Amino acid sequence: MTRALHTDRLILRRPNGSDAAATTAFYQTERAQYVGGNVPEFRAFSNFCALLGHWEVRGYGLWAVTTKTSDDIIGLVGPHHPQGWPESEIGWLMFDGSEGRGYAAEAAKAAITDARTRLGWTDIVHYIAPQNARSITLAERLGARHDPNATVPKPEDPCLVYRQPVEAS
Amino acid sequence: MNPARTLQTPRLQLRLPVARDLPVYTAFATSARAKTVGGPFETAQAFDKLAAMIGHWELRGWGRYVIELDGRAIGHCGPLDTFGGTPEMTWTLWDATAMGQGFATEAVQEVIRHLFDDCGWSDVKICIDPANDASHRMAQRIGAQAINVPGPARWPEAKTYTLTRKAA
Repeated sequence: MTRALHTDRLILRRPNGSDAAATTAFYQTERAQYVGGNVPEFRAFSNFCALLGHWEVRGYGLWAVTTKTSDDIIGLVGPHHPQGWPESEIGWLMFDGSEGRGYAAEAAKAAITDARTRLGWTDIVHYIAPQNARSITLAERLGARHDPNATVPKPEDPCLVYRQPVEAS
Repeated sequence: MNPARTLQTPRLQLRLPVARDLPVYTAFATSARAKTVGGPFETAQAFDKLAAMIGHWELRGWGRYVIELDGRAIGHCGPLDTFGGTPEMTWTLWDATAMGQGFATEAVQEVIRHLFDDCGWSDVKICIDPANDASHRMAQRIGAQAINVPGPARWPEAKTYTLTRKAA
């Protein structure tokens, strides 16, 4: 049983079938275009299947983020490392209506700390689409700096790599 | 009943996909042989596809089995439902040396028998690349009827068959 992470306002828990409808809906929106979304329903569903499978294969994955007042998912934040990716990422996707309250930053800080202490991650990056200004701002707020020399997961569709300082938490 | 998590045929064991299948599945999915199933794929895509097979079981309570021959994973087969509607029966042999010996037919016929007879499913559809002659022959062998409808949204050019309980 994977433990959950608790922050002041949020709970980060392993995603499950109760998160399917909201997550699949999010992946179909235009807002999801920089995080593998803005895709048809079948692809959105497959994305969520893969996210659940990532947990099985790796033993960790993106956490479902909820507030402490409801178990409804409001976003996904956490460690993500498909085979073939050059480095270990902490990623985030916040669903419609959950932005602008600092939730992503609060969840990402908890996920980074957990990845360092429990998974033993030292090098942590954030892969961000160049047009995704909000995520760039968040990465900088979290203390990450753009690393122009890092290898990107998809050279044919390059993203920006933001790197956490090795000692920070 | 809900579909079983393991099935057995005279020569094969069927079980859920797991993390240790990743190297063998990736070798297939990134190879030229994956052309008939929309590939070849990048290494990270292969990871996502196997992970999605695993996650599908968690969401639906059923999904695609890995086919084992003497403890060695040689392919996968089983039903897939990415967004509602009639489930799609799929099969793929990962290992080229396992082809031509009736393994895919043996595995698929057992899954179909189980879904129809034990679980009460009424029908499945089958979607095949127009150029995949071996799979077209197999679809006909197991009693599937070609129907003149487009393939699924992810694969509109696929040729579609239907297989119903009484035809199987």
